[in-house]
Amino acid sequence: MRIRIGDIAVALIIAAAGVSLLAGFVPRGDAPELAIVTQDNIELARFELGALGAEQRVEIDAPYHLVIQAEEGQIRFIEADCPDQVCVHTGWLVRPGQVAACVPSGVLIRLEGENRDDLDVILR
Amino acid sequence: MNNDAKRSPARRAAEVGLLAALAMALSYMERLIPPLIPAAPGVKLGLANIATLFAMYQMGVSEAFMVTLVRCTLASLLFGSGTSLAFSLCGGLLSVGVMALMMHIPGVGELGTSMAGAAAHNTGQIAVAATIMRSAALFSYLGWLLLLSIPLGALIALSYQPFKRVMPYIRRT
Repeated sequence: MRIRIGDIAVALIIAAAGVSLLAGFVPRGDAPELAIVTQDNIELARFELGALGAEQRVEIDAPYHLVIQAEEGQIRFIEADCPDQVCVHTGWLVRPGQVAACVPSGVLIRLEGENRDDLDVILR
Repeated sequence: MNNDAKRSPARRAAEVGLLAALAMALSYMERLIPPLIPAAPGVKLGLANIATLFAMYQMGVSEAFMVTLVRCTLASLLFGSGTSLAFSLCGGLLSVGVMALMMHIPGVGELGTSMAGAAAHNTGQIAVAATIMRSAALFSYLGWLLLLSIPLGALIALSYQPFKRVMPYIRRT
C-alpha cells in the first residue's frame, strides 16, 4: 500500500481536530467537587464528592437498570443492563471535566471542579 | 473497477450479501476483544470496514452503501439496542459518504480514505449520542476517538490489502 501525500494531509487534519476538541475540555483542578447525574439532560442527583462520607448509590430503572456508586472523591457506573456496557467499562471518574455516559439510557455522569463553568474564558 | 456489463442484478445482490455477512461476522468478532484503551471505552477496531473498503474500491459506492446499511441494521437488531441502530447507521452512512468523496480526491489513497472514514464514523456516532443525551459533554470523548481513528483507519486499510487479489477469483466463478 503506497502512502500518498493526501493520506498524510488527512491524518494531520484529523489529528488537529482531535487535539482541538481535547483542548476545549481541559479538566481544571484535581479535586472534583460536584458530580451531577442526568438523564436526558434532566438532573437526577448531585453529589458533593469532597464531603461524601459513606458510599452512596443511585439506582435507575428505565430504560435499563443502572446502579451508580459514589464515594469520597470518585463516582462510577457499577452495574448496567444495557447491551454495550461502555458506561461500566469507563470506570471511576476522579477529575473535573470527566464524563461517563450510558447512551442507550440517556444517563450521564459529569464531574465539575472548583469553577462551576467548563469554559476557559468568559468575555464580557 | 465496475464491470457493470458482467454484473447482473442478481450477481450484485449476491456479492453485496456476501460482504454484508462478512462485515457482520467481523463486527461480532471484535466485540469479543476486551476494551482496548482506558481513556476511550467503547472504542472498537472497526474491522467491518474492511468489507466496506472492499466494496468501495472493488465494486462501487452504491454497493458500499448497501453493505453498510445491511450490516448496521442487522447488527444493531441482533446485538444492540434500539438506540444503537440510530448511532450505528448515522456513523456508518456518514462514513461511507465521506469515504466516497475522499476516494476521488487526487493524492488521497486507501489509507487516507480509511482514516477519514473512521473519523467520520466516530463523529457521526458521537453527534447522535450528544443529541440523544442533550449534552455536549461527549465531544471531549470525540477528541480521543479522532486521534485513534488515525492508527485504526490505517489498520483497516492495511488489513484490506490482501483482499485486493480476491476479486478476480470471485469474478471468475
